[in-house]
Amino acid sequence: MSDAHLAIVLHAHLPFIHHPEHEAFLEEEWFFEAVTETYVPILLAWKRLSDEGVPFRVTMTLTPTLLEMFVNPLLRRRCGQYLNRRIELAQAEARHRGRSTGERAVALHYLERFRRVRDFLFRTWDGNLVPAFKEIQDAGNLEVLASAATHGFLPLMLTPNAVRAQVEIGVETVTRHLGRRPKGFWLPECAYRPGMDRALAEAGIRYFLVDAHGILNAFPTSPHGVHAPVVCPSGVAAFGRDLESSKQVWSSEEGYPGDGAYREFYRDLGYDATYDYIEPYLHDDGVRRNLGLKYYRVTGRVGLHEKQLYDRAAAVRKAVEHGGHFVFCRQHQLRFLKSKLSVPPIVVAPYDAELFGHWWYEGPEFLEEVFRASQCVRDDYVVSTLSEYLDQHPAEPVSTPSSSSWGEKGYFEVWLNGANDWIYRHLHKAEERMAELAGRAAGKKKPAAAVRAALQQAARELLLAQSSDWAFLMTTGGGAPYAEKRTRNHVHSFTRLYEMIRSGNVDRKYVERLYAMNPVFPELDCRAFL
Amino acid sequence: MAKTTRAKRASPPPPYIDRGEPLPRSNAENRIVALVRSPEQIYLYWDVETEVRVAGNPVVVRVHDLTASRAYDLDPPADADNWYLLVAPNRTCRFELFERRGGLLRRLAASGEVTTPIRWAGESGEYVPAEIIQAVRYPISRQAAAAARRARATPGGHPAEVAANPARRAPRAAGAPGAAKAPPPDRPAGPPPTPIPVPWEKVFAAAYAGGQ
Repeated sequence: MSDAHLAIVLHAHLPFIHHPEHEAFLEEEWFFEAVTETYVPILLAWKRLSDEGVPFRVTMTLTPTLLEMFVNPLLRRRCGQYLNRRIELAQAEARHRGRSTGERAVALHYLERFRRVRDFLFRTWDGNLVPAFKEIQDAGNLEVLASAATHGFLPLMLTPNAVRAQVEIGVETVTRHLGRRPKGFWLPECAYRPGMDRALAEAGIRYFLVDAHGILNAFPTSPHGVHAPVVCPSGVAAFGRDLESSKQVWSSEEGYPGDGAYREFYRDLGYDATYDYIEPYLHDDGVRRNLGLKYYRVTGRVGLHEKQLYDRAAAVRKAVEHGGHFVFCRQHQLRFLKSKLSVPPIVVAPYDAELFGHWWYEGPEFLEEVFRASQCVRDDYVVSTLSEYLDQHPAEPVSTPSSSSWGEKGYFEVWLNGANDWIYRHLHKAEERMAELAGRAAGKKKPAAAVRAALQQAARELLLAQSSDWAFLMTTGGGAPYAEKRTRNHVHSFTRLYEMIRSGNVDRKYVERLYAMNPVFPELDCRAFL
Repeated sequence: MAKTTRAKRASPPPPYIDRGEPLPRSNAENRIVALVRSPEQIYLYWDVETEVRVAGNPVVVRVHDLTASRAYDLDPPADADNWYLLVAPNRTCRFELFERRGGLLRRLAASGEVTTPIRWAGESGEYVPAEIIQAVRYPISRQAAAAARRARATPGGHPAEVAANPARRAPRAAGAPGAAKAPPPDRPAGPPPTPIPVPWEKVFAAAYAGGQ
């Protein structure tokens, strides 16, 4: 067996979106779509590998907010309703007289797919995917990484208390759900600032990931480039992202997902069907949106109206072919690296999990093939989790990674620009106020139950306001109004709670109402903010 | 008839968009905070106590470039409360906020030290466009995304666009939301600085040479 390693790292994250006050809420569908198109198909692919006895290894973040959504009863119920609506639509499509034979074949594929997802989700796992991931973790195939409690953008926080709280509450939440204390940490958006690793060390974390230039610009420079971890002065190891494997999958120009055989993301039945026919399946506002039934393939560089019919079997064949190509490239890359590096090399290939299945429909089959084909090249490299690598090889040299993120342009521009810079003065003020409240509560012997509940809720509101997703959406513009609303409302609720706690006049109903709106981190410990 | 024509011409009111609870513009305290944005930019924001605001005296931001051992003053416009400062990569800076009273400066607040990182000498285009991440992780309707793109393409329509092109900045009435975000004079006039085009393979080659 070889002493070169490939680590596939998937980052699954969604912000906490839960709106019991509405019958249906558009943004909640992000979660249902991700469950239907990514999480369940990936789990099904892993199940096939387990059944075949392929000893695959994957490192994956399940962010605390995502875990809280998996277990949420309302979202589980609504996810079932979402799947039922999709199944109804797929059935109508399969029976539709106006569809050609080829289109019906695609519709039948969707029907079968949606039914399989529903069976897996509700018959096997009662709508909750946490035990499904836990089973794979306990079998030794999956290493789950912790992440910040609400995916807060840590380098733009003002106080070390706020960073520590995001880290500690994140680690606690992942431990509570997965029953195992995570060894690694996914920095939200791979965003790192020198010194932040101390908070990780305090939380018992062994390693984290940064983008390639975080390692390439580390001081002092590592002779191994991104292909072996460095160790920070705090003792926490840092892995760097491999660019070659990243580009092969992510790049819109030369990446695999752009192949003509794959399903076209942008051509959706929600826009193609006649309005009267599709209207019952649309959201309450009646606006046409993607419905997840896509009949066409990428085809090539042609207009959306020139796309050709999707052929599922051909697309899966292509995914298998690309999986083999990816393995071939890693085989040669790692052979080369082994000849050049004085330490066993590792190629760390991190991706957004939602890339596989949701964006790149055949992505789960590709991943499956990567693991399967890697078995055939064990003389050249082995697929490992990141902590398996660290168990065998200590990280060296001691070096401090450079400030960086995996966002566009590589630094913090996406999360700090004219569209979202206004949020930071409010978030920073709230950070300081939360530290003040936590300090006052720690000074008292035992605060009243109502005050304790208000304090916990204030912490939740601050954490939810800090989600990096809001700043991101403000930058891209698409979901900006919702993102602004979430930020303002959480900061507003926090400030109200702060004033209540300070005045000693806590409105219990208000606190309960806020918790019912966003039931996250039920056992939150406010001492994390000290 | 004329009435009908007028009614047809009248544009419908813009739809109500809930952007959440209003937040105060100021917390009425003296402070200045610096955040690193990129190797070449530091974002500064500040706030002053009510009495300073009421007095209407201009504020001065003193930049202490600790790496170059020099200091200089910025005179932001009267209604500004934030600033994108152009700096060199790998610099440590500290900032002080002063109130100008006649010929005297009264110190109001100081920021912590911040250090800009080294600029990555990688190839451009390595990063996934934000639009793709959005579609991957937060799939919204294409119409909304297209509307956002249109808004960005309109001068003054999107703050990010405005920040990058101060020349195209639409005038804002005093007191309007965001009025205090006056264009800092030292913002880049052209497109943001592009990374130095050194192929990263060379960087690797240099890095691996040490491993042989």
